[in-house]
Amino acid sequence: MYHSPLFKKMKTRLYQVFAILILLGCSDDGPSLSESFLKIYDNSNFDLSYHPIDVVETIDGFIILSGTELTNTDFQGVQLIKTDEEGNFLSQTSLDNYVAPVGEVYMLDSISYFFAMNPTTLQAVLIGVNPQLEVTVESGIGGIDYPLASALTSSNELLLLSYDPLNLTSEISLIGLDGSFVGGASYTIGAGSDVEAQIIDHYLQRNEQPLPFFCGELSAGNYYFNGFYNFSFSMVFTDFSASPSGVLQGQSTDAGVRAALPLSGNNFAIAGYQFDENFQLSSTGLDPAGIASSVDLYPGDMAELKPYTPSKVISYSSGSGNYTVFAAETKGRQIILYFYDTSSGEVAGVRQIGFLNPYTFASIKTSSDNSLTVLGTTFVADRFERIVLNKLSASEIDDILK
Amino acid sequence: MIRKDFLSGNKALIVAFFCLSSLAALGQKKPPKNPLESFLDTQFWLGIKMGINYTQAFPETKFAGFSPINYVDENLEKSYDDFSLSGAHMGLEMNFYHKGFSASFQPAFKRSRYSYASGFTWEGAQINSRFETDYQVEQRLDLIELPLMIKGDIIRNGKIRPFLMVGGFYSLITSAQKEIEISQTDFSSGTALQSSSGTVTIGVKDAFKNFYGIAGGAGVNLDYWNIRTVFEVAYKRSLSSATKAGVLQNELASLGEVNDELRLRDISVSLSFVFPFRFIDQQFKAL
Repeated sequence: MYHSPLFKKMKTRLYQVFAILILLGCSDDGPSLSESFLKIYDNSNFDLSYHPIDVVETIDGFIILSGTELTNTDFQGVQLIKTDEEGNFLSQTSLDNYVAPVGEVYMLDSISYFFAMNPTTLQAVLIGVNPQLEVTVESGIGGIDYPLASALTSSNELLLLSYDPLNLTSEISLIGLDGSFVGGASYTIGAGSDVEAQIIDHYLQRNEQPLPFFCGELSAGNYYFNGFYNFSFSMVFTDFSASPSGVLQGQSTDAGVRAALPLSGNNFAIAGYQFDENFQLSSTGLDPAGIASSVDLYPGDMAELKPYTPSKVISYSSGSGNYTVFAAETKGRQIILYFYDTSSGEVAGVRQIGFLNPYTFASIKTSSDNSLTVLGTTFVADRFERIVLNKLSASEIDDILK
Repeated sequence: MIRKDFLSGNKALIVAFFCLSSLAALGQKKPPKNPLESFLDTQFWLGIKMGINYTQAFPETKFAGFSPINYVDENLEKSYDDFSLSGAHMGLEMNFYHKGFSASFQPAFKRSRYSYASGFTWEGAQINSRFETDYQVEQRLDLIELPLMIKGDIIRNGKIRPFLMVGGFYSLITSAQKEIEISQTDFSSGTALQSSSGTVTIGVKDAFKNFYGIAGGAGVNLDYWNIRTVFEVAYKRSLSSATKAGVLQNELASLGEVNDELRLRDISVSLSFVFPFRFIDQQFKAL
């Protein structure tokens, strides 16, 4: 009986079952918690809400720069939150002497740098904190008020866009890591024009149309900024000469560029807006020495995007190629990431973050392990605005790009 | 918070147990000489099995859906209801009986259910600045359960044969759904205003993973007519987590809903109807 074909067949089947079980049990559990996480930082304070600005990876986790309400001023206070590498909250600190924190945040030699404003003098202040959130650099920058946006240059200096309410000019400045003024230029916002009220509203976030201030470096000595210039909100190219070298003109604050990323040559990835419509150009040529108008770039509306959505454009490289990542908000109040193949310009993948409750977008960064870290907010219980930090691992991004 | 490799000590032992027990059951060296005696002492039984089960979700490591800034994680802990929801299972029972002992393989499709609750409170400076949420969660798991049991008869003769059994199992997750009933209490009007935010049901298979464990139980074989009716009560205890620890799903993140690292414990009551299999064996064709 034990040598019967039936018995042998059953025995074989049992061994097959065990082999399958072992194989199934060895399946991958997915990325670890340090490679991929989604964290919501809740505070039980009913009256509090957070307005995150940027996140930076440190040697042992992340530092989130956020604005938060203050009782003594309408300006946003400066809040710093430290997390471990799995995104778990570790500590926080408030810099009570300053308001209106400005991104981006950059880490150099373990110090994270960003700008804020003195609420009394309106002077820009460079602040540096170590990974323990201790302030190690605190330097007011004489003659520069209303800080609006910043960027890191190839020479490890900080580019700062600001507004001069006395001379009615937009200012672009190079600032040393000690807060020293290295160089810069000022450009008129237009004779008789006054945008101070709009800038104050921008700080106070009084409306749903945040002004997309940003700045960056094209090459050593050549820079660009998006700000008020000559009666419109425009993208201005400059080598710090008396006049801009080129301008991509917007239409007042109703149309223009929300985010830009220089690619090769004179090509740029552009996230733009035309009144309440949005568009994305994975690559378009802009002449840094010419004058053009953003309306000529408008290819049509991306209907899924929220009017006047905050936007960022960054580059990302994986084993499968180089990509340009556009981040924005949808009308359904999700964060949406578009991955464009940089060489072909075609969409390679889309990822949405958020489902039941509204999400807002603040910033996106690449991390040292080639992951993407997305910063924003969500409304816990549909009413409490809380910071959300979502780290997408390289393997998750590869899945998006397939 | 520490990831556990599949081939950890416990898991390797279980796989070995499966293999050894199957060999022990099947790898007999000498066939009995007397076919009639063999028929009585050695027999295959095949039939169907069905029953109900009750599950306890035991949190091995607790995770918080939010990363709290000004309070402790313990405020976010879930409270589990033990063995509160019934599930059902149905499948095959394959027994190889030899001189009082049976190796029993019982693959079955199984639905397990358990429930838990969680809630959060936000308070402000004013006495009316208070808001509470309450989540009642029912978790449903659909599994293909593969138990291998060794049964030992307490009484080997007669039509009523009680037995004890021990063994192990491996469970494959085929689907998982989470149903969340959300209710809120708002104190801003000066009185506690309760409202419902409805019920959300979503698939959460990605938050779960296959698991394995040990099992034991007791039952009785009832040999009447030409079938054997088996009534048994079993207790199963997983030795590995059924959840992917700490995975906060996109859809549920803003509810603060996240799985703990869970080991499932299960009480099942089953009824099987099995038939002697060797009537179709060529060796006993004449019988």
